Amino acid sequence: MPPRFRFAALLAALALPVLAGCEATNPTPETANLRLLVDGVVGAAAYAPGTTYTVDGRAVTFTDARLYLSNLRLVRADGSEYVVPAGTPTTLPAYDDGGTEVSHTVNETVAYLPLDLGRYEGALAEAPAGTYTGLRFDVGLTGQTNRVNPVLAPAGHALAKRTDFNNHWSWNVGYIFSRTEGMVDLDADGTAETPWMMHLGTAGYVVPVSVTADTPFTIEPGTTPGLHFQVDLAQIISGLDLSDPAQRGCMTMGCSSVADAVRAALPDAFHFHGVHAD
Amino acid sequence: MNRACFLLLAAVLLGGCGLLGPDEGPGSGVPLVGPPGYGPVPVPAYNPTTAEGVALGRRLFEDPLLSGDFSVSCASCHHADRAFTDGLPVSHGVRGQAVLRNAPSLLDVAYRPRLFWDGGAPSLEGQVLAPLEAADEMDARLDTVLARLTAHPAYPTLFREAFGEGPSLRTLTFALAQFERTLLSGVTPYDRYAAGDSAALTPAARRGLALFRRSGCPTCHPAPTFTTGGFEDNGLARVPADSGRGRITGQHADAYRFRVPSLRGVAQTAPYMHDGRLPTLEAVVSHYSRGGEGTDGQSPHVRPLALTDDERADLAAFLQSLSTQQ
Repeated sequence: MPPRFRFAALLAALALPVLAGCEATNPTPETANLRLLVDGVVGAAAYAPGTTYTVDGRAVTFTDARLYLSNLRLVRADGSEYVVPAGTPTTLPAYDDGGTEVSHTVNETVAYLPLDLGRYEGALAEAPAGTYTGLRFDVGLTGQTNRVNPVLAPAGHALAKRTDFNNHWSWNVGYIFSRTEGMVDLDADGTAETPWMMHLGTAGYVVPVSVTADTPFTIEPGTTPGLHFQVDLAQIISGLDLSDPAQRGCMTMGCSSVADAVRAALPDAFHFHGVHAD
Repeated sequence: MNRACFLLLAAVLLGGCGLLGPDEGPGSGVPLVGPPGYGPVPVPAYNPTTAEGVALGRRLFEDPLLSGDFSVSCASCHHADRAFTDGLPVSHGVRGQAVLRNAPSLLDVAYRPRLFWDGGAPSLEGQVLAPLEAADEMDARLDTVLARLTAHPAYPTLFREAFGEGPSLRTLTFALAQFERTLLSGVTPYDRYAAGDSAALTPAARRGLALFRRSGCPTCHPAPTFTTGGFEDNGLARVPADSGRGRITGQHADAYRFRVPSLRGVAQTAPYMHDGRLPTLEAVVSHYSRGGEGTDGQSPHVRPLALTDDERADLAAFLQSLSTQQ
């Protein structure tokens, strides 16, 4: 091979891997596709609607248990956060403070957790791979996201009006952030016979939750890890005296002391069980 | 193009822009004529009023199928011959349960920026589901209602004719809202008087109108709507179970404020106030003549008028003139 061709061949031989590397690093993002996994529990027991549990010494059932979770952030060791965006931002009709109809784009994480239907599994957005020490989120919906017109949200959307158990107050625009209902035993015969309900909502009752993992957790690139929580329903109602009729039926408005008790209890109801692999 | 063609084309174009028929909402297939001085009937672009939608909405409005036990329809509490109220202090829902408040009139409801006595709902489409789901009103589960509508021998076809799709939460609320937008008060004796017909009001009503104006009533009840659309504490003795607007906003300043109702049709909407505690127009006039109960937070606009018996009668006569049914 003439020298000039040998040089060219050498150059090509050296260049090819580099060029191949250039195409590969349109770089593969170092991200993972997150999932959210949430189970309902009652103390140490798995939650099943209609099952009788003992809560604060009384027989109690939970016929439904549904929550809204939003604004999810991953927390790093230095305290900084990665805000997990909506997987697919959606523009929906909503109302502003004055009740005028506006268009609102939901850019934040929003998840509707109907725990009475079993384990919740939902896709979240991408997040940077790395090591994290905790998570933060809200129980509830903030700003205009809470003023979306649910009837106009597409079927299957977290903000769509439910037809089974109500998730939105048509009489006071806004979603029910935490909905728990059931029966309680008031005559000590072991059978829960008296209905109770606690619906938490309105702008003043968005509940910030901060959870620190027992050990830092790592999100690996190119994976679909599941962030696994358990929600203790007994903890949600731990501040209530269900023998008091005034505390057995509350939809936040007009029963602020009851709502305050639930707001105080909610942050401790969430337990992070780590990251499930794909 | 000759003149006739030009005019025809102009009419088509201007009609499409909504510049003809100023009382027609945008995209409306049903002419909606608001009361004198009200302006065009507000119609959302996403739910234009159509003949099929209105007819479906009317049928749904009158159908107790929408309630849990098939016993109550919207019309049960909103009677057409009572300006869409029910004549009770507070309405009764399923199982005869008394609800918290008096059934508000639905006349001209299309114009209201906020609905219910506390203004909790911002649109007709948003309001519809509240009484359906309320346990003490119609106590319906929405999945059950939709299943009933879907299985009904007539409704699926009616929904498709109106919306191109079958029963859903969207089409259900849209149909009812379309019908409610057609509930418009007409031309009253007062309107004819205001337009120049001096004989339209009786002498007593004319005196009552003058008294109404000089007593400051238009501060909250200005013509032609006879409401500001706002919320006031008009000096009624407070009932702790119902804090009105305050329950919605959570603001102390809104406690015991309720929506200022329009006075159109008031002669047909007895009893009066948000809980129906005042049985007659005369009782209402007496309340304002006294200057309310002097409660904390009472609007400064409610002050003693010290009306004579004749003045009370004149004021009541004027209020009667705000109804198309005499």
